[in-house]
Amino acid sequence: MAMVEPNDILELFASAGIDVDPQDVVHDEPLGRYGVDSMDVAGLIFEIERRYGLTVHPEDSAGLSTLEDVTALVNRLQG
Amino acid sequence: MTAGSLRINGIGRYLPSRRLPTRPRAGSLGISVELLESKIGITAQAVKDPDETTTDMAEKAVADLLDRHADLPLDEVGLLCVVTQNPEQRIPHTAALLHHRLGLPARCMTFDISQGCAGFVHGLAIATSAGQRLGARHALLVTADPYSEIVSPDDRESALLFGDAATATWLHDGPGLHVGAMNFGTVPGSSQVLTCRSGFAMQGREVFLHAVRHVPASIATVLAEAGLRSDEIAAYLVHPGSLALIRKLRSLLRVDEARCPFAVAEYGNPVSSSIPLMLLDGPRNPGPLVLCGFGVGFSWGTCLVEEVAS
Repeated sequence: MAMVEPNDILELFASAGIDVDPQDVVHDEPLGRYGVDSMDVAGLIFEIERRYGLTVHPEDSAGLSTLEDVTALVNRLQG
Repeated sequence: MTAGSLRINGIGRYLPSRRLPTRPRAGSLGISVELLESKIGITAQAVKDPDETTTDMAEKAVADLLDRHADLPLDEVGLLCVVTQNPEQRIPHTAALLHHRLGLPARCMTFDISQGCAGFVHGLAIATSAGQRLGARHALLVTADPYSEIVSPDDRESALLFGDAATATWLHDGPGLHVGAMNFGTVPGSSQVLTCRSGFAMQGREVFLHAVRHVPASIATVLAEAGLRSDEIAAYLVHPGSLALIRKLRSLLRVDEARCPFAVAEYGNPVSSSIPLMLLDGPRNPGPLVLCGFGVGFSWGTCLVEEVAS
């Protein structure tokens, strides 16, 4: 299975309702700096589940902060 | 699941007049105005008086129902169900207390349902089925859940979300909203997403995720069972957990705001009272309605209701 890249996750921002310009996002900075809140993250996780056919459990998503964290999570769950 | 013959004939409500605006408290909770207004969506919360009990609230909702429907024969009510997770006493059940206040007859079944935001639909299913089995011609389904008693004003997840409210729904064996196809469920292993031990605790992200994972499928199941297309539904009265959640569900259901309202901005998420409040205030378009509640459990309940003339 192909590795997921941060840009793949950024493509899901719009469908998750996250109103941030993907070009502004520095991959290792906390998403909160761009105004991404907890509800946005929930929406993003749902879009990830739909796109990649995954189920993200609470223990998986605890501590997610940066785009790199989210990308690493998806790659880990995809095995 | 077969529907009962009791139908919704009227609804009364009690919304405490006291309101707490949310905006002045957002900053101290670390909630931005943008998050409050565009995601949470609550501008004020209805809050009961400190000495007002759950039974008081329920009684006021029934009084409003009687104001609207003076022909409700209390002496013929054969079933009284109260949906609450905040009874003023552990024993007896709130329905017994309310039964006494209302002077209902001895031959009236009374029970509580400990359910949250899916409680009204659960109550409809149980009251219509039990009422039919009992041969009851009139039943009352009451929702009363003062979350102000359990939510901490310092809890960022929930302090600006809930509002106190109660409703009373008259079910009878005549014309009214017929309760049709139903679907219920509880997500295995999800019981801790909403809890109350020493205080109310909510895992907001998980509640959001369970809702968007399961609610559209539950509604699709009900529509399929009824043989209806989405565009044949007059309105989707979906529990307004938050504005962001309703927006997401609208998107997934492919319905617009007019057919899937968020009507609680001025008084807060009233838990099990949300759906009957929307029914009372809501859609006047003819046609079937989808009622869907979800929350504590994590449980959901969806049903179809449609006006039947006789």
